[in-house]
Amino acid sequence: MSLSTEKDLILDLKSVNVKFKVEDDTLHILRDVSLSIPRGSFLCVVGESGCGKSVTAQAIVQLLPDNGEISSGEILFSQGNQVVELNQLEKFGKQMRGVRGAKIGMIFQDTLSSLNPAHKVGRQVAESLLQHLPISKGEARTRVIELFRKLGIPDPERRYEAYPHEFSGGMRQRVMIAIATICEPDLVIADEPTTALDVTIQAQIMTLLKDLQKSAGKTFILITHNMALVSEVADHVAVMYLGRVVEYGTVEQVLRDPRHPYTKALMASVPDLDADKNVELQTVDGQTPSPAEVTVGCEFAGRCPYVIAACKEKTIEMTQVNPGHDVRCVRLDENGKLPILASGALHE
Amino acid sequence: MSNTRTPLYKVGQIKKHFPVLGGVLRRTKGYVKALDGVDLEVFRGETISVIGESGCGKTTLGRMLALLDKPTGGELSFDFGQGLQDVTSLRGADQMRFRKKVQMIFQDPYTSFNPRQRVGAAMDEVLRVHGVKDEAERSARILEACEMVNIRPEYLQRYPHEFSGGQRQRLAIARCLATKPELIIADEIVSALDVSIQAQIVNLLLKIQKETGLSFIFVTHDVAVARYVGHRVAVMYLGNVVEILPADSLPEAAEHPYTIALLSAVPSMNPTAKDQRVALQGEVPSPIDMPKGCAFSTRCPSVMDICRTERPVLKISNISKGDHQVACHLNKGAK
Repeated sequence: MSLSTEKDLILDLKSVNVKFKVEDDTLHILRDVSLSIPRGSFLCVVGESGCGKSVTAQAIVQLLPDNGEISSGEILFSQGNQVVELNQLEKFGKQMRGVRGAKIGMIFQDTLSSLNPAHKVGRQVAESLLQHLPISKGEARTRVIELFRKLGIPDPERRYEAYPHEFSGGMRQRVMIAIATICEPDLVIADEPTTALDVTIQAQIMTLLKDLQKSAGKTFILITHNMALVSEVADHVAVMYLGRVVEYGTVEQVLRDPRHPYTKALMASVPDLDADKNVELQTVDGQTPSPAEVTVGCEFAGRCPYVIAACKEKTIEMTQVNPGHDVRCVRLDENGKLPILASGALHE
Repeated sequence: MSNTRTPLYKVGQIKKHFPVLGGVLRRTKGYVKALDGVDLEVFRGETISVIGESGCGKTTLGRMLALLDKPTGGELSFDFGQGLQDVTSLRGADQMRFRKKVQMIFQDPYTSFNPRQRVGAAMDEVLRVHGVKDEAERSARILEACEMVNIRPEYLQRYPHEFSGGQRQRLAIARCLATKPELIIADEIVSALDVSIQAQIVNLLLKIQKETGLSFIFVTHDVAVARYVGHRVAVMYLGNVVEILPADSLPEAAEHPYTIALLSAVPSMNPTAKDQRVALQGEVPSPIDMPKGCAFSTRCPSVMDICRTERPVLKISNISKGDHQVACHLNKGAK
């Protein structure tokens, strides 16, 4: 059990499967998710609601809801020279608690429910320091205030004593970033951190995260549904659909040269600021199926304009179209290109 | 060019102030100025996109235009066919006549239908309320509206929970269309939907607009969608419209420093966009104690002395003229 030596990987997911028990059913939420994340990189996981992007994040830090479990696969986390198999650790055991918060920081979308309304924010940030490091309360306070200042929270001494409701959405998200990064984790997982924020505040927060990656060498996993945001911050992109990674590559490969029909559709359905108004937005027929009703073959087959019989026969494997660029689609020819549709259903 | 046409709906210096209560006696301590003197003209067959960040008053403006809230001051006049007529004082049957002409669609399609009523019945009810007495005509209208939004007629027997978010939003649009309105106010109707579904609704709105020539007010926080859907875009900041300009001229023609900053904050797939970023410092001030002069003066990168004392009004742009209006002291010598 060792990480690939070619690249310094901080996290390596190998065929992770996650199942949820819902009443009498077992839903297969993550299907063979494999992701290799090099140290110091910025990975974006994109997809629409229900594609499993948040569950991937929860599985990594072992915070799946009680009815969910990792049924197979490996999650390898490299900690210094040591490699830990996170999925083998006891969920709330000492070792996992030592990783969560200290080695892997987490930022969630809804700041108001992630912060305790009855405690001062400074204390909530200091709490994770005191939990993981042998330092005094006074020292913790100094470090929190210092970090607040670095994250652009004005008047940090006074803000340390304030309660969450006294903060605006953007400021609360900065506090969340402070909690996630105060212990200097190597890896930070941010699950839709700016979805609830206005665009000008989103730009501020994203600049902040990007700076942390560049200056402090942290690794980021950003979970989002916003393709344009991905194009601004990501180094690598994983596109997910119904629990499966359907395309993976660098941001140039995936966004400038998308190969999977779903990635293409996802990108063409959002107008950019300089979109041609005479070109209709591309739509995907139907909606994402429920994980309960999935049969064999490609999960996207039911909505895909390129669908043929072979798509529905067996599970589609990832194929490499370019070094580092993998796509899960059988319709690609030997050059890794999709056939040109006669019906013109896609605006190529 | 806008001076020669008569508007369908004219909004003059509309204000909405919500009282802030405080103390043991719940006395009025101050006012939240959600709308502070907005001027807007909506023409027939036109879509105006209203954009701005949370708290800028865009939803309040939409509700005010649909007469769902009473304005604190200002004028609202609508053209029923015999020229502009004040609508704030309408009561009873006259007000119903207005409501039939001006319909609203809301953000959340889950709560805008009664969960215990079949969607067909919900649509029928709206028509009955608006005085369509003939049952055959009611069902003909409902079917026509459903066809326009691509909902199969047999779906009308279903309950709201049996539909997906996108379908429910299409049903809400059909319910609106059935009354044959002249203006539809759509408040963030695509923000709760996934992007591929959002595109369906956006394409549908554009199709309906082309086919029926209806006027739309499209309230959204998504600048790119606003530009794509609208003929004109009105940018709001803290209860004021700071700039109105033809959508096609965006993003290049934007003049107000806030519009420029807002546009540059929108993430883009275009790699060159990053270089022209204007980062706004700080956050939107509280609408309870607004800055004295220009509302944007506290964050504006090109603030001048006059901005802090005198509030700029909406004037025709000096640079692009025509349909482009901007409220900024930088727009010098404008009339």
